Amino acid sequence: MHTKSRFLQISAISEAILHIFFGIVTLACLIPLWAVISISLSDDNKIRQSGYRLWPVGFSAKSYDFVLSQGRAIWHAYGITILVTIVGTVLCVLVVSMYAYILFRKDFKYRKFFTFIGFFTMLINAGLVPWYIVCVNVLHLKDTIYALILPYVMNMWYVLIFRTYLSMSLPDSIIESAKIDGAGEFTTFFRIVVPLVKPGLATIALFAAITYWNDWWLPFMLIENEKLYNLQYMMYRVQQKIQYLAEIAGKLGASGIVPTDLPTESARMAMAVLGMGPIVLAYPFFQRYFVKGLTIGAIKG
Amino acid sequence: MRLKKFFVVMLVLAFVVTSVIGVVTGFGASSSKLPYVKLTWYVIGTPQKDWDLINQKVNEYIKPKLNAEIKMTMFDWGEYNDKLQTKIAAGEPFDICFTAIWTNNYRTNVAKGAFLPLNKPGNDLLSKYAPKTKKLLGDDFIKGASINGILYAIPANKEKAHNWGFIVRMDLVKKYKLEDMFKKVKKLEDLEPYLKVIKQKEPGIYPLGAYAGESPRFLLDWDKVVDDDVPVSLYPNNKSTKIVNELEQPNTKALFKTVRKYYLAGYIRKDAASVTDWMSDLKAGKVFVMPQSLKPGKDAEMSISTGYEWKQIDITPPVMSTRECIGSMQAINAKSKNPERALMFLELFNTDKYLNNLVNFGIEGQHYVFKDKAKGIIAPGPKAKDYSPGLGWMFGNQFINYIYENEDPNKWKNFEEYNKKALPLLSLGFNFDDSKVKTQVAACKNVWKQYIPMLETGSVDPDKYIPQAIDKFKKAGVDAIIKEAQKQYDEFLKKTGRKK
Repeated sequence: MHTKSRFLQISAISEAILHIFFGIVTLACLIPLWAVISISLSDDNKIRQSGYRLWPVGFSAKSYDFVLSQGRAIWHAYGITILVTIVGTVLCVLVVSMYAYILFRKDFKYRKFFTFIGFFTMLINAGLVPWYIVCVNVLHLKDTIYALILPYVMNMWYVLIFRTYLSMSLPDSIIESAKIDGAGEFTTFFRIVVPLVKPGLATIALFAAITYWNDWWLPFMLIENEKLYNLQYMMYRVQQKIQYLAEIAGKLGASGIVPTDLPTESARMAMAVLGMGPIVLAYPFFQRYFVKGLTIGAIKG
Repeated sequence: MRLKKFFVVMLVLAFVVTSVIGVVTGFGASSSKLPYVKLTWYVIGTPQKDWDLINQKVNEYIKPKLNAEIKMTMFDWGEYNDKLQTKIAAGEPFDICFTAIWTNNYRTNVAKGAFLPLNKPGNDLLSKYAPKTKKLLGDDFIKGASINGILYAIPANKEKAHNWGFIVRMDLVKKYKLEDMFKKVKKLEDLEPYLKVIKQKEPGIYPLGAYAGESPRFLLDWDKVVDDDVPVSLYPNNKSTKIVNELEQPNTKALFKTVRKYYLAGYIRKDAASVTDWMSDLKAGKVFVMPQSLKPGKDAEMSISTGYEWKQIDITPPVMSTRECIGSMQAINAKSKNPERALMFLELFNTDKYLNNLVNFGIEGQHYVFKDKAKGIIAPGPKAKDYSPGLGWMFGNQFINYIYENEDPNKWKNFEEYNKKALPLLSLGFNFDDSKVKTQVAACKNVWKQYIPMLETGSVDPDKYIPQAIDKFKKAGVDAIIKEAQKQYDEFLKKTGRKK
């Protein structure tokens, strides 16, 4: 027990109300998650008969069997997701932190220009088709693993957050003294700055990791080769397929052979659980860096 | 200068070496003189494990014949449309793609100029490079698939008509001795006594399948003028050329009343209005009678795909409508670098028995085995799991396809008869241009979503809800759509010289 300051004291009633309120919010977040897990452990026919329950009906792990025995494709997609998340996160943190660092350095000659470039593209977006043409015809990203990594490597929003964080937590004098001691720019950045701003880096890393992990959009746009599909996109495809077939069942009309290999309800949920797995574990890992909340603060463009 | 440097650095980061394919165009029709080309082909379906292997076999076969190879890519059902729309918007020079009324929309793409016209007067590519295919399809079918008299894609040669009716679970029919229903059931009302039996004796089963989007509503078989979910239609019997709002017609009301009666009697799933996935109920063995779009042998197909034995009862007469003609086609990209060769490939694919069956069924001895080679009857082979796309209706010419041993050996003969029997609708080849009434169409679609699933499943009282729905449709501007459609249709009838 530490002694509370006078400002932090609240009455027992308000405290109870706050506790209850946030308890409800927490439950609202946890129940759907629990429902997904419980459905994934249910027997499909039982679900059909009794509807969804919060407790597994006719407990069976068959759906996991099914998903895992789909085997190679799913594990492969898992591998792609993990690889892309790790490589992408490292690259993203590197690029974002360096870019933010030069925008933070007031003695950098082209600071205004680079701020403007980043800001301008953040606010004014060319649209989907030009983006696609650049990715495919200029950068030749189509059907390569780079297609899943490069488009998210630079993110101006993260740069702004990180720059604000730097200017709040890093006194200019540190950089001055490093210079006087004869450190070059890279030494200053990697040996002096980076160790001091770990919480900020961790935040960016978490953002990036989640972005990469949850991404289905890039494979959707740029990948045709099944071997490069990631896990989220595989799930997205299943979801799309189910919706789509329901939509067009009538339209297929006379050609009406409807494909019959749709995964069952519980198998879909099993996929979702497997998809969440590792990224849920990433949170506690980064948690210790979030001692101080990061704010974007007052941005000057 | 520094800016330049910065960009160069970024480019080097992102640069991936790719091979540049030389661009060559071929002319003439003898393969020995043709330059070597690579074609690309996009299709829809459930991706198959041995797809690349089959692709390789296809290439081995077509290389000496066409001096070309083809890269076949299959996209899953849900992603195909978006992927193709992106490619077309970005102007990618692929060669062939699947198109239909229900995905990668044929009419929209033609309006955009995305597809190559195949039989323009003065440049009749179809007669030049695919004469056999042209003959196979016949004039009616080509007319039905044409837009303003010009064909932009090659329809698959399959059943050229549709009709509606029911499929019935045979195990239950035998169990309760209901065989006489195949003689007696001529319309929806005739089902009642049989549904009653099932309701009483099989509490876990829905006697009648009615779901949002797949329900007895289709027995009216409206000839839809706009889209499936807009109630602007023609009667499907050529008796009248007047376009109507189907909800205002007496037969619609009568049908919805019957469905309502069945719902109240407990023959239909209680939450049917919000359920679209009827296939899984069929597979779970929970449905006794299901309305279906029919063709010869549909029951056998459903038996294979659901694991229960079904038999079909035909209710409506077969008609040939524009929908069949544009239900499954292969188009050539307007930006294709080798359109002639692509067309030559399609010609070969539609007429060559080996090539067509290779893509449809895989490799003999692996994915299928012959039961009777002379008749082309096959059974799944040891590796059938790795390649059985089941897309006969997409891949070219059904009349040269093999037949599974549990199907009717006369399947294709029945198809031919069915095609002959079908009544070609007057509206064949009529394509409504909705550019003037786009907002009304979108508004009507919203109203449709709101009311029709409830009505078609019997979840609400039609006496109360049909007038409400009609009112909402009127507010959404359905009359403006009807007026515009009628105007265009009259012009179309005049132009084609069909009776007015």
